Amino acid sequence: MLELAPKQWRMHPENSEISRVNGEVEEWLAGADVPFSGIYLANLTVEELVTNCIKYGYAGMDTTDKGIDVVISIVGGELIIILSDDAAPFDPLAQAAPDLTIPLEDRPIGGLGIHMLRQMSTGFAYAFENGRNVVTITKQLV
Amino acid sequence: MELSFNKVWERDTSGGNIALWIRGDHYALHISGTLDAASTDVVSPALDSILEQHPKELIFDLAELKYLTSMGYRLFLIALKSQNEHGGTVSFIHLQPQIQEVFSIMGALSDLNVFANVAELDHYLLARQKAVERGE
Repeated sequence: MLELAPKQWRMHPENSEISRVNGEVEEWLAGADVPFSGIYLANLTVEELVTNCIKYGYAGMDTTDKGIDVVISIVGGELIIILSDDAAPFDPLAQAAPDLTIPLEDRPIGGLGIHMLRQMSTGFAYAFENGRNVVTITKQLV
Repeated sequence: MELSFNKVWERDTSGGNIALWIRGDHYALHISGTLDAASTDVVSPALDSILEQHPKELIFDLAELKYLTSMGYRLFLIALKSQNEHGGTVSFIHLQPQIQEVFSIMGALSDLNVFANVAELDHYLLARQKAVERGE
């Protein structure tokens, strides 16, 4: 059963940080022989949640002292990705699922990223703790 | 990309590269690496310039696409909408399992033209052409 002690990344709320962190996350997980589905989910989590956060959560805020934390671990074969930020409170789970019955090219773009994460993970939880949004995404790795 | 196509240009993106291959009025955009928010800076204008030329067939060759995010997926919807407006089509070839999973999650797999390779795509195009000639 795969086990991996938690590792943390601190990001400034800037889009350029996503590639840096995802590059390091991919290298670390691949080096630990984590299946690609887990690496994909970790990358997708950082991309989707951090872009949302920068676009909406930190909009109009002085972000000089702000930061997003990503903590990844594997416990008993379960990949655990925790992303926390000090942006405005935002519960991604409160977003309605996209209507997949609308013709493909007419579907609104919003909400597709969260939809992808919900479908690809086995657990998705949100909490607002100590002034921070905390999203926990888990996936049982085969 | 198959030999019957000629490479027109290749550009680096933040997480890989893109290359345009042309065979007559068939345009194939090969996307490798990551198609995410950052890479759309390069891919989006390149795709716009392709769409402005109204190709009869637009093919996305995803053989080397490793990561696809919602921002990247959005580009495919833009292409689909634009091609529909002038009677062109969009096809996808060489889908990796993880990309196929994203399409499936988006409920798009049954609505998209997905082919294993160019030979399979050509087989479909030929059958469609014959149907048109028969007036179907």
